[in-house]
Amino acid sequence: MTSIDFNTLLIKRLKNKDVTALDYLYDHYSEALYGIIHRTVNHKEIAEETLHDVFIRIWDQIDAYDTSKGTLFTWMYRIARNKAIDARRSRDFKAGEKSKDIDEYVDIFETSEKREDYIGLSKVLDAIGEMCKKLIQLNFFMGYSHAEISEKEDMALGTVKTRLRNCLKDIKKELKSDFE
Amino acid sequence: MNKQELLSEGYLTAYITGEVSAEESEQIEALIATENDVRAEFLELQKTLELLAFRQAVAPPSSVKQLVMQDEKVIKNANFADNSVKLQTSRFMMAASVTLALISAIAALYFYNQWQSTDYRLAQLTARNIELAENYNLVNQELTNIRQDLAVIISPEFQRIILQGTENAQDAKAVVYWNPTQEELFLNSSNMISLTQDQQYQLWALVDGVPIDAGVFDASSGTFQIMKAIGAADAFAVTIEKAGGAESPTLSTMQVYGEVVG
Repeated sequence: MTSIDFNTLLIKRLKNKDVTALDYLYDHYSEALYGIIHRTVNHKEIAEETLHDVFIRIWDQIDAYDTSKGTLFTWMYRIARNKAIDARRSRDFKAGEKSKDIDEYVDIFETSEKREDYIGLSKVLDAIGEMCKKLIQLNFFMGYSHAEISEKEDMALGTVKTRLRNCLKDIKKELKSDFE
Repeated sequence: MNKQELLSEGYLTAYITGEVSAEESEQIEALIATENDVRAEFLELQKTLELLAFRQAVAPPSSVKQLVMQDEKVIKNANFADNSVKLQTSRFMMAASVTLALISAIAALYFYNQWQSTDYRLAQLTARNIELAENYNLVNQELTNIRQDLAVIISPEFQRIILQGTENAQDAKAVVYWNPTQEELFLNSSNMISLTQDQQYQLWALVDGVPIDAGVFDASSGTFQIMKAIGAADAFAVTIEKAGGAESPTLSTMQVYGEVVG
């Protein structure tokens, strides 16, 4: 059974409100989504609440998921990123302060060194260069918008977008074998 | 936005994160739907992002999962008919694997039986073939015999002498085919009764009243029996003698007798 077939089955079971499918979905994706949420919100309790909200939303909105508009992961990723950005804004508003700045960026791929590196991703990430790594992390996993990155990194908005795309493509190129 | 702009200006990554306007979103979706290379790059970007997302994964506290699974929104519209889905699934898998094993076994048995029956049929056919071949040979042999018989019967060289039953055996009858030139003598004794094992019929050729041994024979069906070479005879007679034949005929046991005509 290919992963596409498996996902089709998973989505079907989720749409059928099968709790065992939600159980599987949580076990499989919660850590990846929590990484994004945690780095975006930068607050343990709020991140946990947000993760909870994300899965409830996935459960409630699964009928709105349209396979033609992207993979299941992309759809969940977008929900997590948006919820986390919302949570950060709300927290900033309540606290009357701005959360940690982009300036406090640390290489999140670097800090997860303990993770097993089956596909040699560390090497690939080293190969694509610091700027690529930073852009990818800020935009995809820390919830910063193109505009925020453009401002902080003193880079034209169009350049941010183009570079993000090219950086992802470079990774893909380095990981060729995984895509074939 | 055309395809080239979409690809080179990073619209696909922006679409993935949700950083595009509703209008742009529609245009992007249209291009994904219609352009193969756009769809291919879209899929590749998503896969790359997913790979990276797993790379930066952080384990949340286990309490979050419990809260999610017990959330009233989950419980409220959960399909509780499928509450035991996990169990059912494993049962289903079990049932499926058992079924599969069964089907395999049945299939194996079926093909084994097929093979066996094919093998059996082959043996049957081989046996039948041998039988047919034997029958053919038999028939062929018979045909050859009949042809020979016929050749004798229709030959102008052969005289046909009918030996009639004597008082000893009024129903008995025998036929002699004799070619005096070639000294060939054949006998058809199909109308004579079987004898005991220690007895045999003996054919005699009478030349000027003197009996000459023309060979012994058993009562047999069908074809001609080839007798001894006889060059001259006035008559033919058959007596019953001890097995192996006698020097001179026991006239009291004469069964059939016939004179050569002309």
